Amino acid sequence: MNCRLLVALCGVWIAGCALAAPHEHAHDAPKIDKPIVFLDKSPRIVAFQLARLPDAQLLLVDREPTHLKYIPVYEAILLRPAIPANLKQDAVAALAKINKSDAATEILGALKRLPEDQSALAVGLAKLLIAQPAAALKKHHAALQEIAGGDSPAAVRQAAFAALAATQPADALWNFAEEKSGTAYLLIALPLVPDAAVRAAFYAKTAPLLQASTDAPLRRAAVAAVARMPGHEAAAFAALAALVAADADVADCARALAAIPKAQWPAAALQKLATDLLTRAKAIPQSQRTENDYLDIAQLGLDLAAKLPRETGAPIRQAFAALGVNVLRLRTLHEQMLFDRALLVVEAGRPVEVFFENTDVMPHNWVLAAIGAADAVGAAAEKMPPKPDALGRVHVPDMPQVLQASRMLNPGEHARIAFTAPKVPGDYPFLCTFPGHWQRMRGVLKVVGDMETYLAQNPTAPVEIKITEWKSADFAAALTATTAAGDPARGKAVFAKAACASCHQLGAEGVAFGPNLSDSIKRLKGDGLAMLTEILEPSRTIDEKYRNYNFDLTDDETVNGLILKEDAAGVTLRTGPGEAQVQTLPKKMIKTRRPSALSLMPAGLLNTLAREEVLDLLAYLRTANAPARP
Amino acid sequence: MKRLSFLFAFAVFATSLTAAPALLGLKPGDHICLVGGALPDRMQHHGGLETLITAKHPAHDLVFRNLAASGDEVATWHRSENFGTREQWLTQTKADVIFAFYGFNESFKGEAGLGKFKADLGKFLQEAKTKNYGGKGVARVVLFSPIAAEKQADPNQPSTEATNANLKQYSAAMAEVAQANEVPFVDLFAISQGLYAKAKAPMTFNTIHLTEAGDLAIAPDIFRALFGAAAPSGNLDSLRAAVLEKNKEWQARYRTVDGFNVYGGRSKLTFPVSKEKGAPKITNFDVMQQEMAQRDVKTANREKRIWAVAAGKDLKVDDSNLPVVASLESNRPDIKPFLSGEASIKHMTVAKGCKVSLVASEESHPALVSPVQMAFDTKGRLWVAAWPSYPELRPTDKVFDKLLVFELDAQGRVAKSTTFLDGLNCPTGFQFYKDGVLIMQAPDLWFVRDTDGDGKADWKERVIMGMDSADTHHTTNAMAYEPGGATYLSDGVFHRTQVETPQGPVRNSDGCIYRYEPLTHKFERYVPYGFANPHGRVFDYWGTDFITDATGNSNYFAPAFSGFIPEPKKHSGLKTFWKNPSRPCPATTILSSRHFPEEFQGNFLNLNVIGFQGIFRAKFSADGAGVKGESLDHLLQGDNAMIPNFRPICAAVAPDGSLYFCDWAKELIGHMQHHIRDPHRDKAHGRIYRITFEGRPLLKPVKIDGEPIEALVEALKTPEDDVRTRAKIELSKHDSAKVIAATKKWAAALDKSDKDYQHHLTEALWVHQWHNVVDEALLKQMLRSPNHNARAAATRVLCYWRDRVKEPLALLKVQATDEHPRVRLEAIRACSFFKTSAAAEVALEALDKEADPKKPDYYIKYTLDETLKALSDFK
Repeated sequence: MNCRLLVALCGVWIAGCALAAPHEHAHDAPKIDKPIVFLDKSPRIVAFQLARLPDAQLLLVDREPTHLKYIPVYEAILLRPAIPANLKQDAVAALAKINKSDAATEILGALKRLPEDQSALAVGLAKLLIAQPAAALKKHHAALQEIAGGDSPAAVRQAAFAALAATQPADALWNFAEEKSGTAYLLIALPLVPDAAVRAAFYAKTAPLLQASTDAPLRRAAVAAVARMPGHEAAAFAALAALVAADADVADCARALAAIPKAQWPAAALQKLATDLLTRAKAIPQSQRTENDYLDIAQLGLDLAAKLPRETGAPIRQAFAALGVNVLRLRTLHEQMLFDRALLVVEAGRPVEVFFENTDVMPHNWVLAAIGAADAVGAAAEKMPPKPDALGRVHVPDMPQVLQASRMLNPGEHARIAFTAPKVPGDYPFLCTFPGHWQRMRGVLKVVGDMETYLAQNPTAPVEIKITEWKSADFAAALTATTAAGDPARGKAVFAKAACASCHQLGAEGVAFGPNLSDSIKRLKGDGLAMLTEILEPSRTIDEKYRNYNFDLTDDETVNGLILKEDAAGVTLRTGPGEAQVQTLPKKMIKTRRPSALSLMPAGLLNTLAREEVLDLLAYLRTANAPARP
Repeated sequence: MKRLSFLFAFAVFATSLTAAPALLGLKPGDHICLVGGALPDRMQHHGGLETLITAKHPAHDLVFRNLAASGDEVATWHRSENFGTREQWLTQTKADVIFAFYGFNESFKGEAGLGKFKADLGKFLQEAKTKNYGGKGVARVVLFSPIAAEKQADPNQPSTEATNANLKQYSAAMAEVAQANEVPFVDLFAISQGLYAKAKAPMTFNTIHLTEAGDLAIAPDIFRALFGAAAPSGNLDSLRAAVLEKNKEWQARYRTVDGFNVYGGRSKLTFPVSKEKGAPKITNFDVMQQEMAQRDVKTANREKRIWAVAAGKDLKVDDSNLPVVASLESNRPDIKPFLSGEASIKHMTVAKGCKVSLVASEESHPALVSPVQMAFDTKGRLWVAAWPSYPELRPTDKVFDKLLVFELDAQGRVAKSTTFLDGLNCPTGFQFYKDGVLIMQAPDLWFVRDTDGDGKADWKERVIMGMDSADTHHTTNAMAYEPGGATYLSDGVFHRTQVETPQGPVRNSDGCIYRYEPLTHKFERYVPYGFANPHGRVFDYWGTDFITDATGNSNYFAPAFSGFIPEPKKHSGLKTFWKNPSRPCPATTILSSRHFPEEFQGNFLNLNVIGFQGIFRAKFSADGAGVKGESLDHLLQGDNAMIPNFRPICAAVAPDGSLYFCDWAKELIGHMQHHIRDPHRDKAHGRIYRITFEGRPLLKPVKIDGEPIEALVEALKTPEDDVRTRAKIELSKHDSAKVIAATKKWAAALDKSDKDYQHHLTEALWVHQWHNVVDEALLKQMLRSPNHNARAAATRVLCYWRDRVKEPLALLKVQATDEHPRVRLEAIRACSFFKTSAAAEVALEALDKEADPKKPDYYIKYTLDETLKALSDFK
């Protein structure tokens, strides 16, 4: 398994646009009523009305950047966790226009209004704030300092510190933070700062805090920050390793160390750190050896051992193995439709546990298939209606090629799958069998006869997945240049191997779950930049025909999907691209329904592509507008 | 009961002397099935048309099966789980001829619904042409239009203009569709209008549903329209009696109560047939379907008698041919023996000062078995609904459920007992109304009266039809009166109720409480909510109501969630006002009696029957716009080890101020924990007890029965809630004009310095509401009363008078910004009924009065959310 395979498996779903030209659809668009809102009332009445609207309805409330009465609408948008950043950016711009201010002023205002327990929202606003030009932020230096040094909620102070990093030199900001007892906030904010050089400038001040004698909260903030300061990897590694040796924040250090690129790990320090981690791991009681902290420590220990020569590495690995069940961590990547590891290695016939956490925003499962059976399992799962099997699992086909399977995990859930590794060595594919995911979301469980032999023959660690948070602006120049960038022929290869067609039709090919790409391309007149924006920001404009609805059911289940049909008896939903994923919910089972402001299409589908591949794909889409011929 | 004589007058011939061609010819052995709403549903209880057709075809051995249900539409079949479709029932009853009565319920959609109605009707007729239900060829369908609404002089009757405009249009559309599909059509709209014009007395009791006399009057005209000949004449009383006897049996089968346990979800529950290890299992379904088979045979046996009487002979019905029903052993073999009613008392612990005494038990009164609801009438007699058949009657039962009346002596003991009504099945709830009683007999609510004063009911009208009983103990009970004269019905989960009203059909799925004004026939959903089983409902001194969901003993402040919400929506989860110490609760009441000391006044009494088997006591205090309850010492607790079968099920304050309560007296009580026919379901016990407070005098009962209007109005000053309610019941027997005049005079002469002056005025307002007489000046005065409770009560009255006062929203706007949150909450609630966004705007004004703009009061926020949710559908 290597990164090429992952890169090639791209699923693209261009978001529908409300302005789409009329064309045939398999279903009538469900209607979200535009709410009646009285904006000419007292602030509390206006706030009450807006607060009770679901996101999608809030976005239908009249608003123009022309009149004061629309201010509460924009302000409400800014404080909704699930409204995408681009729409918040629009709201910020509108507020700036109405108030004759600038974006930074409005974001700062929103941060000040932020309720206490909304740290994720604060991080989102902080990102918007940091994205403002440095010159603009400099103008608000005083205001930022006031917030950063004041008594706002922690998340708000952190956001202000992240912005201040762009407005003043590291030393000056550090002194300010110390003066205001805000050093920990500054350190926690630093990883948000996109400019690596700015982060790195704080190394000199941060490093001295990596001492066992430092106050624990401050030290933990420093531990997390120091791992993300390019140019200081070796020193940071050493300092963190020293903390491990001193038994201070071992698990935090393990996580920070894992964030330092493996290529930068100093070879000479590996063995001692691995041994120290082993000592710490042994000190953790047996009962806690399936908890996060232990798993992170053990994982780092094994990763370190894997980089050691066999004679030193093998005993360490064996010692870790003897401590408890071999637990393999596996997570999902946020809005990428990917597992965070493409390769897991186990010894044949040994007990193993996969600790699978769904850290994404959509449901995923983990299914281990027989060698070479990924496509068969994925295709069979796709045809299944979303009915639970005897073990309560959905989309797990009843076929011998399915070796292990978790249940379908909702966002934030985790599962442990304990089993004995297959006796026959080989590459056993694992995949998420949620329809539409399986072509892209895969990895390999490599079953080897002897781990030491395998590691000796494969000295390099698996290539890590490279994620780039692409923005339209990154491609603006290339896509508006007179000579169009990208190679359609290569793009076709990207598209052909990709999972785009598992949700979209291009011409007559593919699955008609999301909008037809030919129609979207025609509507956008082949404008590459516009197409890219729709792929990268699928929630910016959603055609009501493709509106995702969340249903809470009387049996405490939640179901999401597009509404195909509704009558007195029930609501017919399509929950995924599979033909079998059409289900009718009896009306009596529906407790509540909420239209979602989020598109069903993940926003990060292009983020594993290289820049050239993005351009190639767009070049292909731009020229593929002609209807498919038989 | 007295029956109207079926002597058809010769006036029949006057309607049409020229015979039209026959629309229908019948063949020997034809099965005629009736489908449609309340019009055909009621025909089975009156039997006019069926009797005439049978009389005309004495040798045809016709089989009539009534498949109608109040509320049905051509494309709406609202039934509980697994009831079976129209298609399945037409097949099962082998329909050769289908009488289809549609269009009434559909017509309330007006012009906008006409297109869909015609399409649905056309589809039904076309599909029928492809069916051979009876095995003898394609079913022959006759289509009947709805009857017209009958304009009545009584000002309490609904207006008919708009309804008839729609009905006329829908009838014309039916004629069109019938013609296009070559199906015979009978224009009952025209026929009924012709008859109304000539009738000496109203033919309907509520403008839309025919009385028995109305049914008998219209039957000959329907007959003539169908067969092109005059209906048979002469005395058909014995034939009609035979028809009604058969129809009663068929109704008990087709619309069997407890459907969820007979054919629905819980019919699948299995129980071992014996306690032997490995004994086979038997479901509720197995046994109950065998009972249904018995009812089929009983129906057929009665049909044979109809044929005999039609042929001029007679036949004794012989039910010796019933199929066998399986029996099983109890899954609770070790039933504790009962202590006597008297001996049980020493195993009850009561609050300090209280004393329990036995009033009656099955030992002295064998009919007193499984009492389920109790109430004191205006004569001070205690009425008890006895339910020995629980969960429901068997086809072979010889003992039926009853409505019993106990006359009490000065010591509160039974002096005499009588049976007012026998032959009942599951009388889950009743309430006094005028000179009679409303009693639940699912799927109908009967109004029964004793017209000759012999102490037994002899007159009956089905005033509400279509109350479901898919689970008999989820059926309407605790029929409390609000102070303004409406009473309340209810459904628990699994139910599918559909009631036809002069304002259109009202449907609901699962739990709901309904508000019913018997005087005006208004019936609407009051609290549609995810209740399991809302048994408890009670109004306090100021008309604030509290609702209890029995299963979890969840107690709710009702004004918050009784606003309008369009069907099928329900209200969102509401917090409970009191942390109940145990569950479940079969009934609640408010202790309003000066016989008890001050600290007992207004206590919320919450009865509980499992684990804690006794009566909880809680006191109310304000919680923003709502209330909260705080537990006090228990009023009473049974010792479960000694009297495990003690199940206090209902309670009522007596005219002398003591508190009476009934003991259901069963060890097995669960509907689903034991087989429906578990042999240990007790059918022999029931007790009535009385709690007095030692050392305090009993109250002198206020005389109500037969008192002059002035005395009754004066009785409205009495602090006891029950006395005032019974005074208003008595007043409702009197002429409204006289009652209102006396009330106004009384109100004007009240002592303004009386501390209860504002409450007395509120009672005057409620008397107006009870008599359906709007007094805008009094309403406006009370809306601005110095007492916030009076303002809140008046706001509730305004809600129900909103269509008859000028600028109701302007009045509500003032209430919405009242100083007191309770008044604001009532205003917000009232706004939900207006179905305009302007009302939402008024409701929102209430927020400006909240102390903390960021955190409005819980109840204000909840009710405002619900009102806005209701109004979000309207522009």
